[in-house]
Amino acid sequence: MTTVIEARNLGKSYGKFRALDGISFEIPLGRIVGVIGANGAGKTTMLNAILGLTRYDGELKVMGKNPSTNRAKLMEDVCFISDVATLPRWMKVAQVLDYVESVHPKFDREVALDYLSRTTVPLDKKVRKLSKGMITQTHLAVIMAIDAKLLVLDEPTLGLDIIFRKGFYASLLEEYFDKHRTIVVTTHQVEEIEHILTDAMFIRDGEMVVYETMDDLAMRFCQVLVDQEDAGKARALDPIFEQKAFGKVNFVYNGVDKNKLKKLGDIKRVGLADLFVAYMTGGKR
Amino acid sequence: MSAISEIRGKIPSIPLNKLGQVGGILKREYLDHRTGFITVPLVFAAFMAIGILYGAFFGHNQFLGLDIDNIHVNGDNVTADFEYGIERLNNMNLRSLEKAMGIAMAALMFPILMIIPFVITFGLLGTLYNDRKNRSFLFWKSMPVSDTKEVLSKLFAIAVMGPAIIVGIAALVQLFAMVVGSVFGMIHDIPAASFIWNNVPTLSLWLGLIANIIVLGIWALPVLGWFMAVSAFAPRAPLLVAAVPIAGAIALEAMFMKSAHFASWLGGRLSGWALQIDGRGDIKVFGSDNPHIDGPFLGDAWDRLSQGFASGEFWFSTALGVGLIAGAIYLRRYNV
Repeated sequence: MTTVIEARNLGKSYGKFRALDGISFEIPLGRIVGVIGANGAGKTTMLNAILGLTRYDGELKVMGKNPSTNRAKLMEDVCFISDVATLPRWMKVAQVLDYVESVHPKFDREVALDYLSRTTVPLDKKVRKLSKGMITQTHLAVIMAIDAKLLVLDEPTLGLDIIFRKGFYASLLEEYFDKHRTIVVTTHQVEEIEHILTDAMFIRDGEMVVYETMDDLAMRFCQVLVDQEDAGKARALDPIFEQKAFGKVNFVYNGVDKNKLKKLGDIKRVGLADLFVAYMTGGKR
Repeated sequence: MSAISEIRGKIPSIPLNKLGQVGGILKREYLDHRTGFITVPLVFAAFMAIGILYGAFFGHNQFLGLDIDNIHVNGDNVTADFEYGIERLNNMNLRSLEKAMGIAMAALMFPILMIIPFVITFGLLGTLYNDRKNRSFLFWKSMPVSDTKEVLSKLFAIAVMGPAIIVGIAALVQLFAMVVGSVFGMIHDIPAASFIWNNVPTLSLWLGLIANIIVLGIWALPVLGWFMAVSAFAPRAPLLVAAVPIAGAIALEAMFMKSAHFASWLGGRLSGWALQIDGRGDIKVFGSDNPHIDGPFLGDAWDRLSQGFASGEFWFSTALGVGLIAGAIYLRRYNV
């Protein structure tokens, strides 16, 4: 299994503030990893380090290269949308394609044009005249036309309406992703990307608290809605999170025998967003 | 303005993007700076063309200030005998005639050439700053283009390519003036056309002007480098951020040291056109001491540049400029 990103003790400080506190992980090829964390948790700092946009301490290899010293070469195999609306607003859509074609050896203009032809994006309009959704579609067309191994998306759909957001991820999954590529994505709209993720990584205060496959998470975590009178029994099984809801109490468990939990109520899968909240507010591992 | 846009639209697009990465970046910079490189010079050129036409055919029988009823060549009034006047001109030393014509043409083009320092100043101060302000640097950085290539290409586009385009537009005005001058001569029965087309320098002058602008840029490299560095880090108002420390340094030196070394050094750097600093660091005006370095031709550009080679100050200043550009590259790389 080819490793795309390899981090050992990856850290970053801004003055005395430790934005990223020495995290280690490996991301292989063929995965879609969701990086989930609160604002200021260190997600963007981590992605910026991976993309060679900022300096860092520790060891980091992306596609076998040091991103800090090799960004330009790395970008032949890595694409990213960092922040929405970074396309130059003064350029026409066709000029954006011209530019990418002239500087990127792995860009296929036909693929970009094919994707754009299925949208309402006009090629002869300046980016500033496009709606937010169209700008994202244009950027996505550029990304999809580049034969890269790693795609990094940092809040790529912020501020877009639900239809564009759904379309964005559907396009990525149907037309872009395959076992020869890896996608790393951060977003606050966790529910919308949960179904496409193969792995999830939680970051809290600069530390990585979870990095597992979605299947493992589903095996390990579960939630049980318990009647008020059984709450004491439920607490005895060491839940990581509890919350009152509709006269009952919802408990989230980590790695507790499901046969024991069955006696308390129906066991359900924990959604990624709920699991994240459980982690962030429960504070237990 | 729509006529200008129309003309601009008809200018054949140079297939710069076929020239690899640097070509792609240059084309992008051209698109970004089209107003300064093309539109403003074309507006100036249009006004000048109207002025030339008006003076020659609708005004006072004048061509570029030459009063048809009162023409002198080296002090002799030749109004009565233009053939003699032309002969006098033709007998002049060819090099000095060409130089005189070159200087005259550069003076004609001056209003358009004056756009160049503005294009360079605002272009360099804005280029990295605007990328940061509109967040587009994140898009540029997602491309496999090194920060060094990016910054140096921007410097080249703004300090060399843009000025060269502007010289090209100024050259069109010159050609227009030459055509009008020839017609003007024919109307007034002056054998001007053959004189004009034989003696007024064209390509050699235009290439010379571009070369001189590049040399001026090298002389002013510390200032150009400072502009790029400011563009890479200024949180806002790059012009102010660039100007305040310079003004402050000049003021502090004047107040506390009662001297103006910094100001005179800066003046020398900015006016390589007219001034030079000799090996001892004194400022001398070109002309009387260096009669061979006062023209706008290629050779003059080389003379102007080679003057600096012997001076330590030239190398120090150039190194400072290179250092500041390296600083701009560094900031572009990590100042996210």
